[in-house]
Amino acid sequence: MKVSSGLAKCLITAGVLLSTLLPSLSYAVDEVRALDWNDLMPAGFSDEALFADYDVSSFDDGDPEGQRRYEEFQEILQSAPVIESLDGQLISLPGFALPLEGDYEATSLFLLVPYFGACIHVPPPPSNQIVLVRADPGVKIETLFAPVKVSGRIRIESTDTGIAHAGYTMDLTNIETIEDF
Amino acid sequence: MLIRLAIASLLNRRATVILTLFTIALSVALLLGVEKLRQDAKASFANTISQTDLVVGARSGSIQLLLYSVFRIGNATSNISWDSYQHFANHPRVKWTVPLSLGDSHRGFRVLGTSRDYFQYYRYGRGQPLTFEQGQRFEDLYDAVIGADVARELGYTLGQSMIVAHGLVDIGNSGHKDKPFRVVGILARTGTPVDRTVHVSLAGIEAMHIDWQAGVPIPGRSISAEQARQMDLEPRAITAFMVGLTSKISAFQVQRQINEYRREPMQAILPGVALQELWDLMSVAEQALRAVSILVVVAGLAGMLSTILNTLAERRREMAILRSVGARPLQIFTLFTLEAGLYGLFGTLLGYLVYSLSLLAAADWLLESYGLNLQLGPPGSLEWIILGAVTFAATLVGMIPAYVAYRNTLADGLSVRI
Repeated sequence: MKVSSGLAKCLITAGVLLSTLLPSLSYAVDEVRALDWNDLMPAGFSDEALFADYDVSSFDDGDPEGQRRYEEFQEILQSAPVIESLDGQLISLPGFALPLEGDYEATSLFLLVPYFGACIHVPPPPSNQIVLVRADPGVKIETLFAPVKVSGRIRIESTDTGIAHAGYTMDLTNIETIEDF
Repeated sequence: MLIRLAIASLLNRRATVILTLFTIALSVALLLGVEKLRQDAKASFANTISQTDLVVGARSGSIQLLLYSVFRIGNATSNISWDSYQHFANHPRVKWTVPLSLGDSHRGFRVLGTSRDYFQYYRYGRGQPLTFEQGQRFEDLYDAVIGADVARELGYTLGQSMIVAHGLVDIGNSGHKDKPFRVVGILARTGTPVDRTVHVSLAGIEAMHIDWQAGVPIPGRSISAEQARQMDLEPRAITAFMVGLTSKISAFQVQRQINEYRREPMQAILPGVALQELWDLMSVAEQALRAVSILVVVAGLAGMLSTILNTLAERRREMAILRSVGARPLQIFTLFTLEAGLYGLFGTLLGYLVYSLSLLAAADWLLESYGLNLQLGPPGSLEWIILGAVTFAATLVGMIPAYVAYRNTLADGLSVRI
C-alpha cells in the first residue's frame, strides 16, 4: 500500500498542477476560428432578401430603368452591414489575394475576396464580402489565381468619410496557399 | 596541407585551369545577371506607383493601360472626354483625382500634362511623395517641371527654355516652336519613369495645340503664345486619370461603375492587380529563362569535369610520386575533390566579379533604353545561395574524377603504366 499511496500522491499533485495550468494555457494560446464568407454576412442580408424588391429578370441590358435600379443596388452593396461581434477576433478565411501596395517580394496591403475572375454579368462582391488585409512584414503573393488561407485579427473599421460605412480589415498573422480544393 | 598541394598542382597547369575557371565564371555571371534582371525589373516596376487606388483610361486592356499611363511604355488607343472625367472626379466615393495627358515629347523625353495635384498625390516606392531638388511646381501657363534624368542628360537648369515636339520623337518640323516652355522646377531622383518626364499643366498642352487642327499647324492661322493666354484653355479630353478613393473596399464597385459607364467606353484598373497580371503573364518566360541559365551552369561544370578527367591520364605519375612519399589513396581522393572545390570557389568569385563589372558598365544604358534601374549592392541572399550552390556542385562533380584517381592509385602502385 506504500507504493500506491506514493503513486496516488504523485497523481494528485499532477492533477492539481494541471488544473491550475490549463486555464492559463487557454489564455496563452488564442484559438484561430476558421470562418467562411457566409459568416461575415449578418443573417437577413442575403441574395433573396435584396432581390425581393427588384424583379431583375424583367429588365433588358440597355433599359435605363434597369440601369437606375442596378445603380441603386450597387449602392446598397457598397454599404453592406457588418457583424460587429467579429471585431478583434482571431480568424482564418480562404480566398483570393489582390495586391494593392508593396513590391513583388513583399505585399504590405491586399484585398481578400471570395472569388476571382467572375463573369461581368454579376455585380462585384458586396462590401461585407471583402477584407482589407495589412501585412507587416509584407508577404509574397505568387499569383492572382492561387487560393490562399489568411489568418489574423479581424477588425471593423469605418474607412469611409462622409458616407457612414464600415468594412472588415485584418492584421495578418499567417498566410498559406491552399493546396487541394 | 592537402590544400597547399592542390593549389600548387593547379598553379602548375595554369593555362588549362584559367580556361576552365572562365567557363564556370561566365556561366555563373549569366545566372546572377538573369536573376538580378528579373528581381530588379519587378522591383523597379512595383516601385513606380503607390497609394493610387484606380487608374482610368479609354477602353483597351488592363496591362496596356498600366503600361502607358504609369510606365510610359506604349500608347493609348484613344482619349477620354473632360465631361466623363469630371463625372467621376465628383463621384461621392472618390477622394482625389489627377488627370494625365500624354502624346508630346521633348528631345526623347515624354511630356505629361497634368494638374498641380499630381505633385501632392503621386506616390512611389513605399508611399514616398515627389520632392523638388530645385524650384517648385508649375504656376504660369508655360511653366514646366522636369525629372532628374531630363535635367542631368540635357544639362538643364532653372529658367531653361524648351520647345515641345508633337509625338514621341522630334525631327524638327513638328515642334510647337512658337510656344516655348520654361523650366521652373527640377524633381529629385525617384528611380521611376518620373525622372524621364517633363511635366506641364493641362492648359499648357491645350495652348500648344490651339492652332493645330487634324494633327498639323494650319498655315496663316497661327496664334501666338501671348494670344493663347487669353483663350479658353479648359481641356476637352485627357488620356487617363489616377483616382484615390475614400475607402479601398469600394474599389470594385467604383471600378465596375467606370467600366460600365454608358456615355463613354472607359476602363478602370487597380494598379497592384494589373501589375500582378503582368507578372503572371511573364512567369512562363521567366521560368524558361531561369532554366536555361541553370543549364548553362551545368554545362560549365561539365566542362570542368571533362577537363579534369582528360588530365587524369597524365597525372598518374604525379599520383604515384605522391603515393611514394606516403599519401594514402583516400588522400588522393580528397586532393582531387579539393581541386574541384577550388575550381568552383574561384570560378564563382570570378563570375561574381564579371557580373558586377558588367552591371556597372550596362546600368546607365539599361536605364536610358528601358527605364530599368539596376542597382549594384552587396550580395543578397539569392546571390549567396547561387554562389554557395555552384561551389558545392563543383565539389560534388569533382568526386567523380577523384574516385577514378583513387581506383587508379590502388591499381598502379609505384610502377605506372602509361
